Amino acid sequence: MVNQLLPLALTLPAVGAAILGIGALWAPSLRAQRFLIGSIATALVGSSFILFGIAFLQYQTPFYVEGWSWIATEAVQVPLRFQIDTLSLWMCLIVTGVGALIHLYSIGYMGEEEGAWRYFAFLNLFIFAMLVLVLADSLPLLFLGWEGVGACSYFLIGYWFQDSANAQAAQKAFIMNRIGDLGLLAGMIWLYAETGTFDIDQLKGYIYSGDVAVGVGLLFFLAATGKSAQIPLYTWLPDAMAGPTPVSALIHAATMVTAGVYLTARMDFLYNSAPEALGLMTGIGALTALLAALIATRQYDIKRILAYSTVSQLGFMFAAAGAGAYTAAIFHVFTHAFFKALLFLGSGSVIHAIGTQDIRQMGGLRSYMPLTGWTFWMGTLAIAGLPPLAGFFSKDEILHALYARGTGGEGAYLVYWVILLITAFLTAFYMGRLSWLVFEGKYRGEAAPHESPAVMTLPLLLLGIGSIGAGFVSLSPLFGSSWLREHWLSQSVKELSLPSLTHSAETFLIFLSVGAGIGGLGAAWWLFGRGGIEAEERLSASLGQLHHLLEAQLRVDALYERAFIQPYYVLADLAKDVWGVWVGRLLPQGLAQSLERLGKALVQPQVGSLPAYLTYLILGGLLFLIWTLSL
Amino acid sequence: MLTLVALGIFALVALVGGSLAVMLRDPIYAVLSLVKAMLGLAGIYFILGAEYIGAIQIIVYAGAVLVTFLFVVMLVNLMPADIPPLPRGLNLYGAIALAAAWMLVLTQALTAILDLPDPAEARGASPDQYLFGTLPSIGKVLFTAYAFPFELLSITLIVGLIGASVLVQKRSEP
Amino acid sequence: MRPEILYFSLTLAAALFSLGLLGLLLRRNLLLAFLCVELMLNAANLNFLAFSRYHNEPTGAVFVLFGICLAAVEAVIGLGLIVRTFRAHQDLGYTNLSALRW
Repeated sequence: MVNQLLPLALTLPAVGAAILGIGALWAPSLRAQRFLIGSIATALVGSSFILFGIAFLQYQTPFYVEGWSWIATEAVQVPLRFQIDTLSLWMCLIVTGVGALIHLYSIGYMGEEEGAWRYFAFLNLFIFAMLVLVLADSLPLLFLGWEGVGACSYFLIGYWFQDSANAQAAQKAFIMNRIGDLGLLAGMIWLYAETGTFDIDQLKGYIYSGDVAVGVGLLFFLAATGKSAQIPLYTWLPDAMAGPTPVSALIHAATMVTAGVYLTARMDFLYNSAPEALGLMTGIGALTALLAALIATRQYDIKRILAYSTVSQLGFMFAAAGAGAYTAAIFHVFTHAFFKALLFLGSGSVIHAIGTQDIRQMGGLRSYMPLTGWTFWMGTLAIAGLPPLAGFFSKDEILHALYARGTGGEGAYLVYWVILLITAFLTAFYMGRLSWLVFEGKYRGEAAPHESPAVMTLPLLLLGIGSIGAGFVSLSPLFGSSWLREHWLSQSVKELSLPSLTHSAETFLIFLSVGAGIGGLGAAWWLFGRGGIEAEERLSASLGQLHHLLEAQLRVDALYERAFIQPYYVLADLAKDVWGVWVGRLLPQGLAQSLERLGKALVQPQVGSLPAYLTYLILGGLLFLIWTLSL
Repeated sequence: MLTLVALGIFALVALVGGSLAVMLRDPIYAVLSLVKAMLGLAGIYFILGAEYIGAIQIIVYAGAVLVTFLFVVMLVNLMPADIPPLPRGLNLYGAIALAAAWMLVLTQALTAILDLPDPAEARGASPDQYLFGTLPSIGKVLFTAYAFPFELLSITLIVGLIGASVLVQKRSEP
Repeated sequence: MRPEILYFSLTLAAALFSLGLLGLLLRRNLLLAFLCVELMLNAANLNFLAFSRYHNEPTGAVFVLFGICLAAVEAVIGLGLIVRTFRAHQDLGYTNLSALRW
């Protein structure tokens, strides 16, 4: 029964995108029915979530939904086939569940927008593409979904394309992602050259030599750094905040950017035989987490802080995946989806209310918009890792995995563990700073803040409940057993086994991570809870140059500008000069001129005299005769 | 032997007629010389055994086509004085050389065929049985294997007829 | 049929053809040049007939028949064109007919 419903669950968002997109293009009068459009989009994604929920409850064994033959040549055969196993189903639940809530929220947030039909059509299309990505059972199909979400992300970042800055942000995201996609494509082809198949299940059956596993693993990780915004390709994500806030919540926080983590978990069989790739992954993840957290402490744009927070949390996920603890990474994807979507939607609610993103213009908003304020605080506490909120469990699991691997003989992981512990402290610190500056103290802006409509606060409430309770699906060994890891994801993901820790070591770890969270929050309270915005000014003054460097986001964009873009322009100019002059002008001109000369020469024998033509004819006939008879 | 002598006479008539047609300055004489050449050819056709074709050659070519030429000569009132003299010098020798080259090439091409055995005799047919040019044998082929081209030919004749009348018609000048 | 008769006919045809060709090259009058074309056509007809005789096959004779018919059509059209040319130029010399040159 469920097997027949699943194709429906997959296609409902696509149907929505088609109806809304084509329908509104075809009948412009439909575009004004914004509430109807939003409701249709929400209902379709919601039904998709319910169908996946039924599939989740009745799940027995992995199964496949066969579409049709997609690529069928003699050399390559790729069927359009979807694989429902515990991992993909879990991702589907996150995507459609959070997606449905964000759709609902968008009805309120985008209600005034002229182009709401476009927005909802792309949002639905994004959900579809994301489902294709996670359900794909072969690499080309996964790539299709991968590109599909990238394209939707591009369209939605550039939703307000009239402003050229937004269009440029969209292009930046698109181009940075292309660099990563090259890795995915190259890795895919390499794997095919090694094994002769694209099918993920069949790929699992092969034994990979170290070189292939490391090479392909690094290529796939390059793809992941693009999609999931890790060093060196992370700079697009903060700029992607140019899109509507619900888009940032859905695509650039909860779902699309976790595709890289999903890819890593999906390719577990590959990474398990590539410890070098895993080590690099953890290193990059930890470094990204730390740098992004540092930058986040010195930003003033509410969405930009959350964007760097997302980059930082994605770094946590990759650090976990790099330790071989793929389920911990997926677990963090799950909890992060709740509290980061909640935080983004809360920030959207604030922006919706007062029309600015600068936290210096905010303050004391909790008394004006209590529901937004309380749920935002809930998200802050969750991401800070306070027990028993969601973030505590997943972050603890990650730190636990790194520590276990570090003490198990791989010392580098201990360094990464320390970095992540510092990052956890910084996370709590910048989130506490954000919450106190925005929601506590005195209101510093001019606009009159007001609470958002129920259609926006309801998703906030539901996500808030999720942020509180989501962590209980995977308890750390100290409190019981992890259902998510041991009973669900273990069916489809093979983890590297971690060295087990003593009871006291685990207790120590929990105290450390909770301590980092509480310490960060406490530091934030000490500074901003008591001092407010004046403390912020004092702090930035005392940090001096460091403050400016961090506020300018470490000037990475300028560095890339000088290191890649300028040389590229130089190269392009050179090509324009050399290639353009020779191939673009001189060669065609010479060709044209010589042809013209040839034409003029050929015209000479055409004297226009009939006797001459007669002579040509007779002479030609003679030569032809001689030639045919070979006399 | 007698056949060869007769052939030679008719060939001489044809060649002399042709040469005069090419060289005479008076257009009337030139056309009449060509009539002579046609008659000589008709004689050769008779000797070769194609009586019907020979008769057609006389009636259609000598009788109709060349008479039409004569009509046109009179219509445009072409006088010997209107005809430019034959070129001399390099042009003349060049033209003769070109024609001689054609002659050479054509005879060379044709001698290649002469190495073949006579297919008719190889089939065992005696000289008396050469029936290819008689009216019944031509008619049989014409109305069976070549019935369709024959019909096409009639259309071509009509087209020619209409075309000629359209071409020669005097139109009022604008 | 003895091959020498075929040889004789073919040589005669070649000679008549070349003669016509020579006339075509020498004559500077449309009508007389056209006359030479008729001679060349007849040479071709003679070839057809000689081979028809050689193979004892009526097909060649039928082609001569076709050829004569087409020659009649060709003569009529050609002469019509000559008459028109004469009306246009009051002259049948074709050396100067070059209006269609580029």
